[in-house]
Amino acid sequence: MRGFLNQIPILLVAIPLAFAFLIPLFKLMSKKLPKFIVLLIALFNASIAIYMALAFKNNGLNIIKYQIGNFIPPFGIEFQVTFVSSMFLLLINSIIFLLGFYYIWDKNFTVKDNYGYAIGFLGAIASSNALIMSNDLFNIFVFFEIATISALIIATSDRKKGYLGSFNYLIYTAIGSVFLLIAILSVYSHNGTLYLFDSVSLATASKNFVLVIGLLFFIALGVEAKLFPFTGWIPHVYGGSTSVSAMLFSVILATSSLYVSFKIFIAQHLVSSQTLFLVFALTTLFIGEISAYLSKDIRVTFGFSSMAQSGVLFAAFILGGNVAKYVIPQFFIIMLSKSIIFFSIFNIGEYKIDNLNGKYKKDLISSLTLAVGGLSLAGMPLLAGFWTKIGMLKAIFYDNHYIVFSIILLSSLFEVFYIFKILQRLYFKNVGEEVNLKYKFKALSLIPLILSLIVLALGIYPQFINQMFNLLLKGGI
Amino acid sequence: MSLEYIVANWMVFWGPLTIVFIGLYGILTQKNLLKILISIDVMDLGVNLYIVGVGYVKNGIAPILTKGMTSNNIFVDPLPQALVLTAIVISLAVTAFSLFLVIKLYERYNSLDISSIYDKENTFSNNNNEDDV
Repeated sequence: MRGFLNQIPILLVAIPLAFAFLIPLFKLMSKKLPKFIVLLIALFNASIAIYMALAFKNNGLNIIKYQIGNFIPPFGIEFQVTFVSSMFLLLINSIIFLLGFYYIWDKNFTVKDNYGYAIGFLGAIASSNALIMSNDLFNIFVFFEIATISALIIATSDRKKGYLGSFNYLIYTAIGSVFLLIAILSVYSHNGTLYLFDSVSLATASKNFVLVIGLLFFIALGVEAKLFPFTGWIPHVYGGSTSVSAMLFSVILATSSLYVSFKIFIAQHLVSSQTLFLVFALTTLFIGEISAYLSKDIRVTFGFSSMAQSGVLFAAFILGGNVAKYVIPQFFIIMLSKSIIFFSIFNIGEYKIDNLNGKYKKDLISSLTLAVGGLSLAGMPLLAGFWTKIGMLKAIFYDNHYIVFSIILLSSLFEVFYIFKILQRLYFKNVGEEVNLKYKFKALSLIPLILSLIVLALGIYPQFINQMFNLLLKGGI
Repeated sequence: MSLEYIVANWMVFWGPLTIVFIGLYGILTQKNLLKILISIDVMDLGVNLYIVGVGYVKNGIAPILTKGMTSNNIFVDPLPQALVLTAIVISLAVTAFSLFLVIKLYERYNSLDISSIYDKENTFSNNNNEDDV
């Protein structure tokens, strides 16, 4: 049993990657086949993730380690799954599986190059899983590059408009990957190993050296984790994105990048200057919320909102102590809420906020779930987002970080404003053209509905969040 | 501080980093898409030199087992040399993809100037804002 468990983490990466290379062959058999292959792989990955999460819960495991070729680190590459990372893998792979339904059956989802898109999709699945599990710094770089290339393929396959967004993204990621390599090799020159959790770490290095390395990692991972000032690509990429692409960028790739940056910062003790990183994180939060408020396209609004959430999480992580305990639960709730929002938006099928006028009548269920997701993200009572947000704010206040507390509170106000602006347009704006707004049931609206019920259940019975919180505190990252 | 130390330090550390920053300067200042790509490649070149430099050991020889070697021989670190190969292959793939993007951008906007491409894109967005698949 244990032996089998130790073997399966690699499957989450190897299977999607292998099938990504086989897609051209499947295309020769049938043009529609690549789409179904993606759904099949997503189902396979979700099953493995559920199996691993259950093994942690039922068997009382602490850690699963897989060493490629049985070479122990630092001689070989190690994939590690803890309880926290198993939860991330579970959530990411489940969302990818649900996204698979949109990929096949969403009528609004039309891409230029379907088969290229399938390769990009599978590459994104493999790299996001590998980034969460890998313990080898150079391996993280390689999967970071695979994630980048997959993201570029996805953005390019979207629409003709996507070329400019992709080029913009390419420049940011090219700079990011150069800084990532410099950082990794500098760590290697100090530690003499690429193993992330080696007993030798930068804890013994000079403060200035650690600061420079920390900044290099921040720049490198900040592009995909959407940390300011590396976010100039957001309006171009999200503005031309389809349902599946926006989700891949906002929930899947951003989550794995942010998670891996937390892992590197913890393992190598990179938080040498709390003030400097806090300034970056809070600027990310503030600029993200203001840009989201000013955007006229819902996809861009929630793209910037996602940037702001990365800022909050990074700030809480940097503050450490009691505040840091809330990072992981808040991370989960944000992922869940963002998924609900994006699924709902793409069911409604209207991206310009000004054109939302009363369109809730077109899709009642998705309009309702958009409200649930949006309000949960804003931290409204009775929804899951409330408990984690209030817990985090209380911890920040009691730890005497009053400036951080005020900035997060002020930014939350902007968040509430733009979410209410969207909901007001959707529900209360007079339309005048009632004829076209007949309700038609969409099977895909059941996906955000199920997720919304989970958010609602967690909001009404916060004991589940507390239980999860206690379990998460036991395991390492 | 001997001249040899200064030269070695320059070769393995400051020289490559200078090349990286020359590339960065190019990315920030150039408006032609191809020049931006060349700047990205210059950055990649700098970082690849840096990787090789990390493995430098004074008086070290190539880590290849040959006749007449003794345990007193000093080798340069072979790991960065292996890593640099991967980095080169990745940068090649990214460059190929970037060139594809440049061709597509030229086909759509009939220009290689990034400012003019943005202007044209704004005009397209104002006239017909969505869904030109």
